[in-house]
Amino acid sequence: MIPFVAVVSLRNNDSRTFRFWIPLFLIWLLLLPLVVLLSPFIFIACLVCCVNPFRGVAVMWQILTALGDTDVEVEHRSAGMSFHIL
Amino acid sequence: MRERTTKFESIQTGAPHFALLLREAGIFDGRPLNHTGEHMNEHRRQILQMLAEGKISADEAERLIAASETPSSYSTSSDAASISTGKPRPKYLRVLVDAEEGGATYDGPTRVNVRVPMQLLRAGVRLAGLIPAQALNRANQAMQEQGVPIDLSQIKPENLEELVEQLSELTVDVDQKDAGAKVKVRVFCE
Repeated sequence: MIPFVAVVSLRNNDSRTFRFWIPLFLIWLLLLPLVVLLSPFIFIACLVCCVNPFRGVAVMWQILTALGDTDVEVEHRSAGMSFHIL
Repeated sequence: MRERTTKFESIQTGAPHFALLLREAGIFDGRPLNHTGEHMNEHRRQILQMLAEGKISADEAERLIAASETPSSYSTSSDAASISTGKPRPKYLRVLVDAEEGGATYDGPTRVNVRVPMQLLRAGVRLAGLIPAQALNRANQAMQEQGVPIDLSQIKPENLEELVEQLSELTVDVDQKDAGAKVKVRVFCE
């Protein structure tokens, strides 16, 4: 399953935390027609680079599905940032 | 005889070694050890036969029988090397960095905590397999120039599982203390 939501949390100097919920599913929905439109060019680019286009698509899909549960946190006394993909 | 004795000394280190030894002796055929009935008697009979032939000492025979009576806690497969130790497969690669920089502008420590799913690493290795040979050669050359002797063309999907398995045993601890800075890096799988 591809991730649907990402949470970005920012903490500033005053210890105020801002949390943003990014609806990734909307981004996927917006990107889908673009990918469909660009697919012939992607196909040609893969052939030029001697890459199996179907394998390339499969790997990209695997990367997308594996992105879930990724966490990055950076904490400092004056500021902090965290990024979670759900 | 000496060689066999040396191998028997490894029994104490764990059950997988014992399974390998039994396989070598032709006692254990890869199936789960059956602790009842004919199978058990057959194992015991073969161990006693080895004892009678002088291949093993009485002490070794006793240890073999005791070990064969112990319920096996590991799965068996056709390949003895793939015997599982029951350890769960790691799901994430964690990188923890704890840095303290000294000096006049010191403003507290910086902590970095990264958790990457192992699935993402697998997909990344598959992606590396898609890189064209020319680009790989250039990347290899650039890394050689930087003193990193890694051949990216050796990373192949068929070696993927082995690579990830090795990563599961990985633990890197770096503890650097300079005059003004203290950096602690920890890389491990969980």
